[in-house]
Amino acid sequence: MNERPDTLEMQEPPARPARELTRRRLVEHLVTIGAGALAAAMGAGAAVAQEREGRLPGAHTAASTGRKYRYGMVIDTRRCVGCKACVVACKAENRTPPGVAYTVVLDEALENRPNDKPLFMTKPCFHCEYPPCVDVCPVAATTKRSQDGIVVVDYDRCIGCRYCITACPYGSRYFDFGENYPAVAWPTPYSQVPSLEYGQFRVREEGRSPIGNVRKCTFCIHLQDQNGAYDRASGRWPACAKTCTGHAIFFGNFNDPESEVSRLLRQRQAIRLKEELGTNPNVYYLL
Amino acid sequence: MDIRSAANTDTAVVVLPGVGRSAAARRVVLAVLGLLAVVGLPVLFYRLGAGLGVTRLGSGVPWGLWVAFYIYFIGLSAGSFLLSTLIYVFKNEKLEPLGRLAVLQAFVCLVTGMTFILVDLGHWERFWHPLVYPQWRSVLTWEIWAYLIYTAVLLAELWFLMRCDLARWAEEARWEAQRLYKILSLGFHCPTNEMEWRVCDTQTRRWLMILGVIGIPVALLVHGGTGAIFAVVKARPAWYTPIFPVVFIVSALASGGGLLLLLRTFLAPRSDNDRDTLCTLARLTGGFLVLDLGLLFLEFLVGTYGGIPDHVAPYRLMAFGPFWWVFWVQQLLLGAVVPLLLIYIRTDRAGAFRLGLAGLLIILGIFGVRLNIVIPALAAPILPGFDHALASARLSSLYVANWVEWLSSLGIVAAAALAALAAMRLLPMTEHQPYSSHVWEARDVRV
Repeated sequence: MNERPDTLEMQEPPARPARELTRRRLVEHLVTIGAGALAAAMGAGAAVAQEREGRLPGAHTAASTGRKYRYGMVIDTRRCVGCKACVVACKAENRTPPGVAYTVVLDEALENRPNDKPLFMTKPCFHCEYPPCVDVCPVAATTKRSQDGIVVVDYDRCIGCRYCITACPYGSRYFDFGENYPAVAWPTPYSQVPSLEYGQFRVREEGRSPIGNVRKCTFCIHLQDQNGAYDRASGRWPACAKTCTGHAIFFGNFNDPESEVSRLLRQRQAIRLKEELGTNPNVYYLL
Repeated sequence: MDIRSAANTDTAVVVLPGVGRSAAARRVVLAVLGLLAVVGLPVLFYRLGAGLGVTRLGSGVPWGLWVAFYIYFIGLSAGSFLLSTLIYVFKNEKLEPLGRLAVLQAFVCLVTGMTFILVDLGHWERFWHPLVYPQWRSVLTWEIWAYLIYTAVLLAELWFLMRCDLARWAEEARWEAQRLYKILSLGFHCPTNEMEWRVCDTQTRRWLMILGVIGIPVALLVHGGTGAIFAVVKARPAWYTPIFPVVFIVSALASGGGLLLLLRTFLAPRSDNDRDTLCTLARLTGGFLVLDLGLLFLEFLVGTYGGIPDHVAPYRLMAFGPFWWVFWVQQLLLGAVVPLLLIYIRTDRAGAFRLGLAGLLIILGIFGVRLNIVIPALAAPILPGFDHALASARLSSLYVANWVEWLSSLGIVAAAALAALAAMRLLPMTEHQPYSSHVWEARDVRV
């Protein structure tokens, strides 16, 4: 260790090259790049805002959405008695496992009115015009269909990151943890009954999609006919709306001004949840 | 002179005491890590086979311990790398001995963080989907690509840092892992005379500068972007704030500095001028910690002042919920107040043990920060009554990680730590030394 005669000399820094990147010049470059990025971001933001303004909520025409159908619901909370028949009907229709329910009934006791009927609210997916869940999906596994605005999940694409669950302001997305109701679990014969969901007829198998995927309400998309239309008279209608004992759930096409849901919106005062988030839900509540 | 004999006669160049110097303590550390890896990794494989059903995650709180670990390690990585740029871009000479450790640590932590997010996927075998089917409106997609670029920058930087030593070691027949160094040096040949060595050294430094300049925005994108994954989620008021990416970067710098302090004092090889280096690093880390506390205060102030119920709820959970102690004790008392006292009370007299302990407390505290970022924001029910809308624990707003999550996490962390220790032992970790001495000592001061 003591034999380093020329250590100091050799540690001498080499002469500075002429075109050295000084700290000042680095900062200048970074400022230029930052300004460019900011301008680009502002431009993109303005474009998005302008595009959204063209589709104001309440403009229920085919021209306003550019889609053939705009399916949605109007739910009359005064008619809801909290029986949860919609939850059960949905589970039967879509064969959802424990912990996954495409619609749930929230009940909230009214403040300072303990003896009154609580506020019941059946809550399917709202199939927002601007669904935040679709934006955050890293693999485009969840999309809003161009023909009818229904937000769907591609089970074979979804990686199960659950970002969409965090991003949904309405709690409309559920992760399938692979649990089963004992009565329909293997080895009962019911375990081999395929699910109608998406018309894919999947048989529930451990480790196979939709286990490990995020699942959600599809407005019973498998009941549409080839043209994408539903038909109430023949029972091709979302299970919850079909079942509702109090006739609280109205389903239909907002692009048709004469549909039941469009008329209800004209006649009654409706609200939507968390309007301030700009998601523009297609499910309305009558109070 | 014969440099070889010089190296063999005198290799102990350590002034400060530390665990790394004691064989017994070293063995204890290795045994604990080994045990955790042996217990934890089988649990990890059990989870990978069985699906997420074996965890306590749910649709109410969809992200938990693993996501907290993921942002924790990505933060450690970005923080370590940004600290290393203080050396290679901003030419801070006092921190120079920490450079290689910082970059190596950045790489190991990055891989560990990505492992955690892989484990968290419901269909982890589809991990390649984001690369093949990218959806460019998703911040998560941006991040996955940023991680890849960042990995490349780190690997390139590591190689440039070590190429000269690796090439020399590859030529030395005595060393049994010669072949390894041959591969790692990628065919680089070390100059054989002093003049060429100096030219090579200059080139190396320039490359490190360039990579550092590229790496700074990439690292900011990596961790600021990880913060943005959360910050863009308008459904969760506690996340939905532009300060979030900034918080991520500042707490990353604090945790990166903390880990560097811990490793340098307890485990990694050290050299004589350590006191100055450690004190500089400790002061810097403490500064970032103070800044982080300031940002935390701002989050609380703005989040609760207006009294909007949805906005107040997560902060209330953080401070007074079932895990209040994570906030008050782990994050604030042990994770901030105590280490700040350890660092700032007569810093110039501080021993390595004290500073290493401060580093340990800081990284444990920042882990509390990560838990409190992920969980309370999700545990506040998204709509009133949502948490008990179904008779299923999967909708519960109370999330407590179970043994599968904990053991697999500890297994991953232990395996990563063992890999890092092995890398520190095998790779040339000692910083730039003059031509005559720079190889032979470095190798003998090992973990």
